[in-house]
This record gives sequence, structure tokens and C-alpha cells, in this order.
Amino acid sequence: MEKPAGYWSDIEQYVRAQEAGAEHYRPLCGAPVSTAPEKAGVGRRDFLKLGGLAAVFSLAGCMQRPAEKIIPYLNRPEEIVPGVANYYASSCGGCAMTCGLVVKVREGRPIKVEGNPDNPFNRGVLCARGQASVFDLYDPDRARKPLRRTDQGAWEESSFADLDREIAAKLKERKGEVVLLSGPWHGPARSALAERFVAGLGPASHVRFAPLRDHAYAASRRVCFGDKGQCRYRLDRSRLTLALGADIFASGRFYLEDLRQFTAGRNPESGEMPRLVAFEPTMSETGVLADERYPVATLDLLAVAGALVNQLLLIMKVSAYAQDSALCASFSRFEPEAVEKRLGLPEGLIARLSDELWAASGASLVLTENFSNQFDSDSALHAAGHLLNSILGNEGTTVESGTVGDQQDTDPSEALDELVKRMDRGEVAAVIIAGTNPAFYLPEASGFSRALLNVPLRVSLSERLDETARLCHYVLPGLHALESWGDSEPLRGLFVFQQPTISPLWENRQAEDSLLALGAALGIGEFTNNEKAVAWRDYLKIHWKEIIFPGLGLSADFEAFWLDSLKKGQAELDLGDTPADPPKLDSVAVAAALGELDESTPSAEGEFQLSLTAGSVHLDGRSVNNPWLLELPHPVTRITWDNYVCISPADALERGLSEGDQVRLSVEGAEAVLPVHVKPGQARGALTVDVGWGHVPAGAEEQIHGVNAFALAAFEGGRLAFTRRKARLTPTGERVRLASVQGSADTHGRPIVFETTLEEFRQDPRAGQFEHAGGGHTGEPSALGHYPRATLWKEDEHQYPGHRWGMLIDLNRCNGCGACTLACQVENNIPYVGRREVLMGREMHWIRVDRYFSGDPSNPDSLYQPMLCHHCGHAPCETVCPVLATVHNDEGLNLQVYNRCVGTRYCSNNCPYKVRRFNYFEFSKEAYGEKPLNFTLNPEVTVREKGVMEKCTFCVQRIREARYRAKERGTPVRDGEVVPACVQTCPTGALTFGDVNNPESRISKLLAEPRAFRALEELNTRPQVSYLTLVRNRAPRNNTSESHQHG
Amino acid sequence: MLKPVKNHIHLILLLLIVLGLGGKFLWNLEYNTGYTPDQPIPFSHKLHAGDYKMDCLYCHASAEKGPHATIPPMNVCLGCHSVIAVTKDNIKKMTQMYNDGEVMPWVRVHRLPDHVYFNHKWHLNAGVTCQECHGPVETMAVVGQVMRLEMGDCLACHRKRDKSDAWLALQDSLGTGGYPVMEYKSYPYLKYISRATLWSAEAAGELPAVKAAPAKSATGVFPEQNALTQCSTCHQ
Repeated sequence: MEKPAGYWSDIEQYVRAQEAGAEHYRPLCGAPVSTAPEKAGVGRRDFLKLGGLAAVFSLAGCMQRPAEKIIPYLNRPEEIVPGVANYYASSCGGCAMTCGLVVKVREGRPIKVEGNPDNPFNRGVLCARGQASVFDLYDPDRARKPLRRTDQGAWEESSFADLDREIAAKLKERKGEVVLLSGPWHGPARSALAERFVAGLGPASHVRFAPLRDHAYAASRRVCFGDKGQCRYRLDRSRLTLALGADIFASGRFYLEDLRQFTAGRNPESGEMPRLVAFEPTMSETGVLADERYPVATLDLLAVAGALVNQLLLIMKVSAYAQDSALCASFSRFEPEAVEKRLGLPEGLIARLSDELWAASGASLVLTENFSNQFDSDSALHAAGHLLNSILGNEGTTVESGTVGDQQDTDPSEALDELVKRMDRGEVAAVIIAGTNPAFYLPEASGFSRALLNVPLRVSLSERLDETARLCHYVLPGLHALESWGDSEPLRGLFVFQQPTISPLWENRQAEDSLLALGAALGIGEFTNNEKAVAWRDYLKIHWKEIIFPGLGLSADFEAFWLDSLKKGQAELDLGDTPADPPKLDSVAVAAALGELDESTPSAEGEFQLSLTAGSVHLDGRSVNNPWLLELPHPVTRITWDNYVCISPADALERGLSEGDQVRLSVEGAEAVLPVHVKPGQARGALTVDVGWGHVPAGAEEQIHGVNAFALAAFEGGRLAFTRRKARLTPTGERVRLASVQGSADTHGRPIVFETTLEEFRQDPRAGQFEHAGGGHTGEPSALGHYPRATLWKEDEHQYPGHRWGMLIDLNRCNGCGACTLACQVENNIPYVGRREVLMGREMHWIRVDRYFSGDPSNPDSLYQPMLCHHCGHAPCETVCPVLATVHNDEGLNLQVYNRCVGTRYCSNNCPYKVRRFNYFEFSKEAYGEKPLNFTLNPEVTVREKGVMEKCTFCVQRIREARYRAKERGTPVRDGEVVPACVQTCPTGALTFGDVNNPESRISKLLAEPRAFRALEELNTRPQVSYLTLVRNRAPRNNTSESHQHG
Repeated sequence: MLKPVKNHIHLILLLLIVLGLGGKFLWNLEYNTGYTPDQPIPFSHKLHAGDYKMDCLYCHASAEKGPHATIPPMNVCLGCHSVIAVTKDNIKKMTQMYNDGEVMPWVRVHRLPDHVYFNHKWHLNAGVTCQECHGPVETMAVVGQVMRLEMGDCLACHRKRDKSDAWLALQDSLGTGGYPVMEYKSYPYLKYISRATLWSAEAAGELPAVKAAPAKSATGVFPEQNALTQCSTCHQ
């Protein structure tokens, strides 16, 4: 069989291989970084001496064990059985999707969250950030008490009652207006509360601000369609999706839904597969899934969109818009051939794509929405996108504008600009800030921080002492989502409820409660009951009972409806909407947007174009105090603990820059010093930096990771611009090592990952699979190319009479988001190790996602492979363990017995998949020792000690629990009853787990697919983890002439 | 020239005896059998469980509901002792503590080694009696540890039960290495939120799985039975 191109994982490796002219690229697993220990440690000899001494003294301790107390409950809460978890439905507070959650609560403490399978929106899955939210709850750095700033500027602890009185008194005496400045303010009851608060306070207003919203897109929709400016994409209906700089799978509004819908169609067995074509400045989380991808700098995206319109309207002359001469004229300057030439795109690409798009009319989708697509000429790009969707008849089919819930919008940045001006002029007497952190999000040029200090009364309701809270007079600390009440409406008619699963850990109060308390103190009648402030919980319920419920026309009793909705976590209600006609495009507005355009000037010599990007792991930095997320590798670059400036390999070569070189990045006055990451697939002349880093989450400077890239944005004329023209790089001469987890993963041309194209797959369902011609075989290959395999064991030495657990991973669906890694970390008490230890290759993740690139570094293909313990039938680790610490059970699990392990690490040496993790130091104690972080630990999984090898167990605790339930029931474990944490949360459904012995199970059926293969099968380890070959839906060949007929 | 060994034989013997005795002492130290600590109030199992024949599960109610048998919450004690023996000093003391919101600091007697995940409920449901591990508690005025509660104790019992009829039948049926035919009813996805829903659906007969006496299928195979001596049975 033919061997595919060699994979490489980073640029240095590629360059070395090219230089050496080697057939297979050499590995980059050179000497480990020899950094001197940062902490003053005990040397080996001293350790041995001390150890001997300790052994002597420990014998003395063997006398009688110390008396241990058992403290019973005084009155046991009815719903708690010690050791048995309760599950509650709630919703996530991580982003605008407000995914439904099922919260696992042990002895009154939430220890794990999972997606709510009954929620029709997220359908049981959850992203890495959602999984990691448990850490934020127990984060010791949260604000713990209400604070008041003294005249000397120090913080002083106080009580809510005192502060309410004080603030209310100041609000009464104020001269000027009050501003409630919030993040996206979800939910009907919450909106009503804010509305009433603002109305009851007299001159007051509510400004909502979130940095990662594409306000330019919303504004452009409002102008071109006259709708509310927000829409939901239906990737499940799209056969061809064209992403123009739109990173929908990372920072899109409904990115989890988009990802799920797109990957659900990636099923080559059905014969068809939707295609994704991406034009983008940097290899993004969307681009890695693209079947076709072209690196194009952000400011050139308009030319691509324009050329497509030009091709469709002026050359192919399709659709009614072709008759609109004014519209056509505004696109006449985008000559497809000239654009292709200028951007270095393949010849004929625009014509081919236009044909394909036109052929998929009504089932195609053009995406331009992305916060970094906000720049001076942004509305033109969005207008061209709207026009393309309208020409193709996608409005109303793949672009839905009426189905997004009402509360999802935020105010355009002009509103914020207006606020800054008013604060500057001293018109604002008081500002109350909740759920947003503008002092961090806004560049200095916005003047926000300066203007804020001009306000005589500043109150923060933030959960932590963040950048904005530190500028305030009072902090009334808010609550974590798992302690909060709330409602939200992500989609029209879908209401998701939030209920607390733990009472507030500290002396904090939900922001809504604070508003109610302040409102009540100021005499808003609705907020008062018996001279006391109404509790937010009651307000929420009353709002639903009196305002929303009567309008629904339900026959049920409200109490029953309310309890049922809280129990289920959501209510799908018929709001009596009639399906509206898709909005009509105002072609005059489109032409006007194009006309306004100041043609993009080419960069001067030595100037780059900078675009700010956001990864799905950190977004705007809202959970950047979370070490689980900090250590989760970036889905594309696989770098942890830092952000960096990405540059294309060609530019790096030209500038003599290499990985980790520190550069000073200056953009029109703003400056930042960042390390360089040479990123394959980056557009020439484009720089990208992830935002969300450099956050000071709790007031401690030493906790800062990375650099705040929001500072590089522009704020001009009230508009935020995240793409900028004139960036310059100056090397500082220093160099750092970026903590990448992927430095040494080279396939050496070995059969680890397979890929093929849809075309080849249709001809040969086993396409792409090959066997290594090297060792491990005996005899001649069979007709199918399989060699008889050598083994140390007798055939059928191991019997699996009952279940045999196995996992199957569809490489076609994985985009490396890391939700599996994080879910596993939470479920299995995996410690984080810190940047320094990651550099030494000591990260502890039980499931990692390997990323390989292949092809030309200027625009490579990428491929993701989740890698976990393969639970080999003939496990190489088991044969070498001198103390039998790793053994097999008769359900095919490879077990690690921690109390037998003495840490020889032979097993890890002998593991071909390199999935065993060794706990070099007291990682667990360092990670979870500080109270109350110990509450994040799962009591059903052993916390491993120093010196012990550990690895994936297939969540044996879940298998055990399912087995027990089955025993109790008297029937065998059902298919789908055992769901390991990674499988449960995978947003794309790439992972399947089940009983391989059961011929009816889903996994057995998938394993029978010809696409199924095992990594390194030639070693005859008989792994229980299998993969499905990646199938790329490449550009169709020879159909250009054929589909011209459509026009 | 070496001194004759004979001169030192008594010293060597003495050393051996000391080492032997010391070794035996150390060997037995950790077992804790016979550990009978004083409790804050002298609660008598002999009186409650023996003489009055109260069911163990009356107080240790969680034993059949979850992994831990648990010491009863104070209100359970007061349930009787608000009317019974109220004049006794210890009961007065306990009542006072309860009213003050204090809890009784009982001293733990039975403690399993680390790394083992023991579940009372599963053992009770398998028909193991309390006394098999805890000894004749109903005869103890002061509770002490009877069994060593070490891995060997667990295994001794698990090995015995592993040779149960069902297991042997399973072995027989697998003579040819084939997969035992089982009645699998696939449920598309276990709904975590709806565990309660799932169970109620079962109770309502909406799911086809539950049968009257389903412990074995026609071939006598029950795959959940065969895991008693695997490491993963108790360690996770």
C-alpha cells in the first residue's frame, strides 16, 4: 500500500527534515530542557539520608493508629446519602450559549458538570470551558467579602447591609445619571430587572458590552436587512460552507452548536459530506476542519468576497441581483483573476467556488461574522457576505435571523463610546458594573479607565477583584453560575433555567440580588416586600408567574410548571411566532457599504497586518485564572500557559525569527512584547495574537500569564477595530521557550494516523490505510497487505467472557477542542503541573489530542488524533512491570494498581502510544492542596501520589457504577450506559464507547466499517481503541465545465 | 585469630530472640484487631442491637442506600431518647449537645486501608451480613474491631463467591470461546439527568428490560457477575 506524506508537527522539525533530506522527518525529542529547579530542593543523596532517617522514625509511628473521629450529621438533609451523588439541572454561565448542565453534587458540593442531554440546544455536550467551570467555583482567589475603599485607597472588609445603606445614600444625593454597565444581560426576568432598576432610579441607563461580539456585523445586518442584527447559522443544512475569516468554531456566538451541526454531517459512509472552505489570516479552529483552506490576510477577505460576487453577478449573471446595475457596478473592481493573482490564490479558484456555491444554492452558507473582522472597512466585507447569501438563497435556510433569543445582543461599541464621553464630561454620577471588565477589554486609546475615575461613585458587582473592580469604590462580590439563580433564552422559545447547586461559598451575593437591594433601599416599590428587598429568586419566580406564564396559554398549574422546568433545566415554549419570511436585502445599502470603502492600501515595507484572535479555550479571558484551562493546549498551536504572536514561516525566515524569539510588537502607539510562534498556514504579512491573556484576575501580578492583546486594538470614532494595518516587529534579542506539548510527536512515517479523500474513499473504503514495511511481521503479506503478526502470547490466552470495553474515535470529526482532555481532568483528579513542568514534558493529561500537519508549511493540512491508553489486549506495559502494578482484567481493561506501583517507569518506556503519565512531584498536593480546591476532587477516584505511574482507566468508576446498577436491575449493562467523561462531553460526537463483545452495540457496528483502523496495528498490541480514517472532501475535479450550465 | 563463636553464642541467641519478638510485635501492630476505643458516651450495641433486638439498619440506615454505613445523625438518637431513659446523665448530655447544635465526636473503629473503594450497599444487596465483617456486634458492650479488614479478608470472600453457580455456568458455556447470547436491550443513551426518569420508565414497564427473575439468561450468563476478583472491582 502507498505510504502517505510524512507528517510533521512544527516548523523546526520540518525545516530540519528538509535540510537533512531525510525520507522520514527526524524527531525533535532532543535533550530535555535542563532548567535548574526553581525551588531550592533536596539533593538525591540528602534525600536518601533523610529517607533512611524517616524510615526509622516511621517505625516508631507504627504503634497504634491515631484515633480518628466520625462526626455525624445533627439532622441529615433528606436528599443526601453520604457517598451517593445527586444530579441537578442548571445552566452554564460561560458564554451566550448558556448550555444546559447536569451538575453532579456530592455531599452538597458540585464536583462535575456535564451537558444536559435533554437540552435541545447543547444536547448533552459541553466545551472545555464549561467543564472547567468547577474550578472557578472553588477558586481561592475569588473575592470573599464585600469591600469598601477607604480614603487612603486601601480595601476594607464590610458587610452588605452597611454597604447597601451607604451606596443607597450616595445614590440618593447624586447629581447626574446612573449607569448600569453590564456584559450580555441574559434572560427575560434579568432583562426585566435591569429595566425596572434603570427606570426606578430616575435618570439612568443600561449599557451592555462584550468585546468578542462582532458589532460591525450586527450593524451591517441592521442596515442591509433591517432585522435585529443577530442570526443563527444552520450548518446542518449547508452542503458548502464558506468561512471568510469567520472563526465560528472558536468565538462564534453558538460555536458549540455550529461545531456539532457541522461534524454531524462528516459521515462519508452516507456517500456525501458537507464541504468547508476557509479563507483566513491564521490557521484557526475552524480552518483545521476545512477541506480547502487559503491563507488570506484579514483586510484582503473583502477582495475574496467581492470576487465571488463579481463572478456570480457580472460573469455568470445569475440571480435577480445581476439585473441591479448599481449593485453590480460596486463590485466591478473585484476582477476574479486579478484578485487571485494579487492574493496568490490558485488560478480559477473563484470561478470554481462560485460554481460550487451556485450549485448548492439554498444549501450553502457564507460566513463573515467574527470580532476580528471589525476594522475600518469591515461593513463592506459583511455587506458582501449578506449579498452572497442572498444571491444563493441562503437567507431563511442556512441563515436564520428570527430564531435567536432576544437577550443575546449587546450594545454596539458606539454606546460605550458615548458612555466614555459622558463620563469624561462628568455627566455620570454613578456607575454600577456587573459581569463585564471593560478596563481590561478596552485599549488605552478608548480612555475608558481615565473616564471611569471621573465618576464620583463606582460600584462593582464582579465575582473577583478584576481590573475594573479595582478602579471602583465598592465591590459587592457576585456569585459563580453554580451558586446562582437565573433564566436565559438562547433560542427563541427555549428557556434555560439556572438554579444554585451549592449555597454561596463566601459572603457574596448574586449581582441581581445586589441590584434588588440597592433598588429597594432607593424605594423602588416593586423591589420591596415588607420593607425588605425582594430576593432575586423570588423576583425571578414572580416574573415568570405574573408576566410570562399567563401569556403562554398553558393549562398546567404554574407551580407544577415551575418545578418541572427547574427539574428539567429548561422549557421549550411555543411563543406563537409565525415563521417570518426571510428578510429582504437592501441592495442600495450593500452598494453604499462598498462605495464607502477606502481601498485597502498595501502595507509599507516592513509593516504587518495584525488581527486579534480568540481561542475557544479562553475567549475574552473570562476564566484565565483557571490553571486547567491554562494548561489545556491551544487547539491549533498546542502551546500552553502563554499567548504569542503568530507569524508565517516565510515571514519568519525573511526576518530571521524563530520559535520563541521575543519581539516588540508596535501598532500605532500601542506596544506589547511577545514571543514569536512560527505558525504553518499563516497568511504572508499577517500577524495574529490571541486576546484574553495578560489578565490580572485577582489582583496579584504574579498570576499573570501571557500579554493582554486587547491593548493592541484600536478604538476610533466609537468603534473597536481588532484588525490593524501598521504593525511593526522589532526583535528584543531575548528568547523564551513556549510550553508546547507537541514538540516531539512525529509519526516517522509509521501507521499511526490515516487519511484519505472522499473520492478515493468512494472507490476503496479502506483507502489511506497502510502497513509499515518494517518490523513486527513474520512471513508474506496477505492480499490485503496484512502481515501475519508475531506475538509473545498464545492465541486466546486472554478470555473476555463478559463485556469487553472499547473505544472508537472518528478522526473525521475531531477538531482538537480539548473538551475531552478537560472532562477527563475533572473526572479523574488529574493535577495540572505548571509551565515549567510542561516544558520538561511532564504534563499529566490522560487523554491528549495529537495534532499533525502534512504538506507545505505555507498552507498545510491538519489532522487531530485523540490519544489515550489503548488498553491493549497484548499490553507491552504489563510484561515489563516488575511489581505487577499494571495488569489486565477480563473485560479488556488495562489496570494500573497505584498502591503496587514503585515508579520504575518501565511501562512508560515500553508503551508505543506514550500515554502513561508519571507523577514526578507532589503535583496533586500542589494543585489541589489549597482549600477549598480540594472540593474539586472526585471522591470516587484515587488521588495519586508522587512516584506513581497513572493513565486512562476508561473511567473504571463509571463502569463499576453502571455494573452495579445493572446487577440491581438484573439485566446486563445496556449499550450506552457506560459513558466515560471524555465520550460524554465530546462536542462533535467523535468518541464512541461500548462493549465490543456485544454484536448489537453501536461500537461493534462502527468497528465493522472498513474505515476503522488501529494505531500501530503492526505491533500486534491488539488495542481496544480504534479510529476511523479521516476523509477530506477535496475540491471536486473536472466539474467546472459541467456546472457552468447552472449559470 | 578469630575468637571462637562459642563465646558469643548467647549474645547472638539473645539478639535473635529480641529481633523475633520485636518482629512479631511489629508484624501484628497494624492489624488493629481488638481496637476498642472509648467513645464520648458509652453507647452499648449489646443493649440496643442485642437485648432490644433493634435492626442494625435502623440507625445505620445509609448502609443499604450508599457506600457508607454512617453513624446515625443525632436526631435519630433523639427520636427515641426524647422519651426513653431521658433521666440518665449521658442521655441528658446528648440532648444538651443536640439542642446546642453540637455533634457527637464518635471515635472511628473500623477503617479500611487506603486505595479501596468499598460499598456497603452492594455487599448488603449481595446478602453479606454485617457480622461477617464486623463480628458479633450485638454482643459487644463496647465495639471493637474483630476482623483485620485487609485485602486478604476481602479476597477470601470474593474468591469463594467467584466460584458461584452462575460463574461456573458461564465458564461452561464458553467452552468454544464463543460469545454468550444475551438479551441485550439497547437504550440509545443513558440520560444522566433522567436517571430518575429512566428508573420510573422501567417501573412503568416502558422499557423492556426488567423481568421477574432475571439474574440469569437462558444460558446462565450474567456478565456483571464475573468481576469479583479483578483489581478494578475494588480499586479505581
